[in-house]
Amino acid sequence: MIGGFSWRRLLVLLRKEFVQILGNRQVLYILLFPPIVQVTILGYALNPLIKHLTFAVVDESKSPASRDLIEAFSANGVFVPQGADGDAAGVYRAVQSGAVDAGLVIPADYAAEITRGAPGDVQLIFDGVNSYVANLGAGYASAIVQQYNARGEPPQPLSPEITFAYDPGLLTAWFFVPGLLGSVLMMTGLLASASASVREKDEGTLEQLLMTPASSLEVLLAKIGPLFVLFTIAMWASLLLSRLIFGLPFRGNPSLFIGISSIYIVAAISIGILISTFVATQQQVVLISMFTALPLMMLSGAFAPVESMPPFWQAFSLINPLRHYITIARDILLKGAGLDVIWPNVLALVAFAFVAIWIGATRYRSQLR
Amino acid sequence: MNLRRVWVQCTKELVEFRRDGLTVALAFALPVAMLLIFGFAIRLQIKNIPVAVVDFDRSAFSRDFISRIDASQELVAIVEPLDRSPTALLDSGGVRAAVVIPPGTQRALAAGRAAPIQSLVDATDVVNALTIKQILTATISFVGATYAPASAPPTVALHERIWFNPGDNEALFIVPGVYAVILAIFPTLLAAIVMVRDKERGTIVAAYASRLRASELIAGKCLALVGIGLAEALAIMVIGFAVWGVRFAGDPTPLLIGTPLMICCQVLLGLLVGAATNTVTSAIQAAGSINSLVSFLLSGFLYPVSTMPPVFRWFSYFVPARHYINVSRDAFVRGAGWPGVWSELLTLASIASMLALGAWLRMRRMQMAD
Repeated sequence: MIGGFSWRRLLVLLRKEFVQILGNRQVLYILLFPPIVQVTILGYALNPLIKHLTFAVVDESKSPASRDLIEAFSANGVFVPQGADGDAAGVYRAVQSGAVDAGLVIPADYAAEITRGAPGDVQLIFDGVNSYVANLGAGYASAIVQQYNARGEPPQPLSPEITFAYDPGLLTAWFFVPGLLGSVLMMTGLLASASASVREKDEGTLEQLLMTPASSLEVLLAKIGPLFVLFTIAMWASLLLSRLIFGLPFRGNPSLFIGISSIYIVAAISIGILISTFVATQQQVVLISMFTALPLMMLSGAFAPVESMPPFWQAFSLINPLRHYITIARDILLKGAGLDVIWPNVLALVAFAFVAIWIGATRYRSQLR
Repeated sequence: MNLRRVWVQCTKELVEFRRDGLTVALAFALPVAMLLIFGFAIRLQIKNIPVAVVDFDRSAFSRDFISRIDASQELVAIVEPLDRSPTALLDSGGVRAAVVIPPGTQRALAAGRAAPIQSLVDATDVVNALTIKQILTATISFVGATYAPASAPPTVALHERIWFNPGDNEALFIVPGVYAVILAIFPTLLAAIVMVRDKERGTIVAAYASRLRASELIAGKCLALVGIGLAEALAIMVIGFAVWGVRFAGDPTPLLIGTPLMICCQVLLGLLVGAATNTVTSAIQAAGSINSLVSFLLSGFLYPVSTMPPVFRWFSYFVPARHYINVSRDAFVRGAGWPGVWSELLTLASIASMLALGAWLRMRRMQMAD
């Protein structure tokens, strides 16, 4: 580095970067609004709880007992019955062609078996093409039958009393918003900073910039500045909207959350700058940025649980800043946790941001050679 | 439309693509790498969720209960000392649920007296919470039945079967979906960049000044990019077969027609975005981040489309990946063929023509934006 660190130079550089970003309205809008809209809209749209599963049903027993069972299946809205053409083969065909999600076959001797005092056998087939839906559906069906069997019996002495903590209303938006917020900030921050930095290289202005007495660190911090401000605004707007629309709670310490989010945004921007030092053209930077951002997003616990991933990928996700940020955001917002619980994640995040900036600054000057 | 000019435009794009060796490598290596990462790492079925058990009873019943929980794939029991409160256990973040077995539970059971077992479940992850509830309820009633006085046999014996994926191999659910997501992301990105790069460098002026028409420009670029996309599709499907043994379950023709249609949709979307934006940064935001998030989350790749609010279900009709995912899952898992998916192919074709019209309307003046 030449001439050490100078605040005055940093301010001048910051001004240049701000003018560059603010000068292009299209870039400004496209960096600011999509993140906000994505967090709120997707938070509203995504629903992992299955409902309205259509099931073809054939009732060969045609008895009060079998109608009662079908009634029990369709009572809570998870399963929606659809008449099938006549026999069990019709139900199999409907499942086979993907026209329904499940098929229920009640055999002719169902009512007779029950009057005999034996359990009445019924068959429930799921379309396993979507194994997620099929497995959850099978779980629901078992629970429905378990309840159905318990009707009229004296209450079991052993009664599970289950209470839901933190999100007693089971609002899925509360689960998705922290994950979406982290994902969108990572994706947009990384892509925007990577493409802006490569552009400087593409247009040849990078050489001019590096010929000035400014140190790499100053150039880098100035690059981070305007994007940091933009994404901080986007983050606050998303949180505010989520609070208004979904009633997202804010149970923890707000200043702690602000501080950690700032570190996270810097980390996301730094990854983009780091990527830009490895490539030469816009096309390459876009491909690599997407390739980096999407796995970071999908392997973070934002959508699919980390605990379900194979052990290797779980260990791998420890170097994913998004995973730590999502854990922190859920802990602070929903659980009201403090530093005493989340410090390992905070530490990982800080370490990550430092390493990214440090390598970025080291590589930034050398990339011309 | 002059076919020769279309062809020239197409070969020009391919030559330009081939000259950039690193981009060629990336265009193939990245989709394959992404397939491998997602195919191995993304799993939705919950596994090994830690559940704290505070056991005041220390009886045969409570030991049975704990080992039964451990035997399930979904939960792992962690026995905690008696002085930990359920709330504190959940707050510390180590476990997702806490079960308290009060003293004298087994004796109460044998005597037929009420024996409530309290559990606190962390509901930050709603699906996890509901699954934990289901398993705890089932386990409690199963283990309880062996210690309580005998009761009447159940009315209904439910026999559940899951078709098409009898081994419950989750890769068979994830991998055909990843195909759709990859084909939604990479061809769009390449197309958007091809379009906007010409503009940013100013070389588009040469095309504007020539006799080339907008329809020929779009058709030529589209042809070249669909060709590249098809090569990517072939690469990932071969890897999918080699690694997870994902093979055709039935008639492959819907997939053979659906794949070019899907790529065509995504390439045209990329060209349209490229035509509508002026800088690479904006184009990437639109074609990259918005398109990929939508393709991931509103296509039914992870969570089914049927559970979304109605507005989004309608919107998802315009997401090509939603239709292609059904084609792909049918071809590789269900095997119903044409009767099951003809409507999806028709929709893909309509989306492609709408996008082509949009790109043409945007480009037809062949002039710089004001």
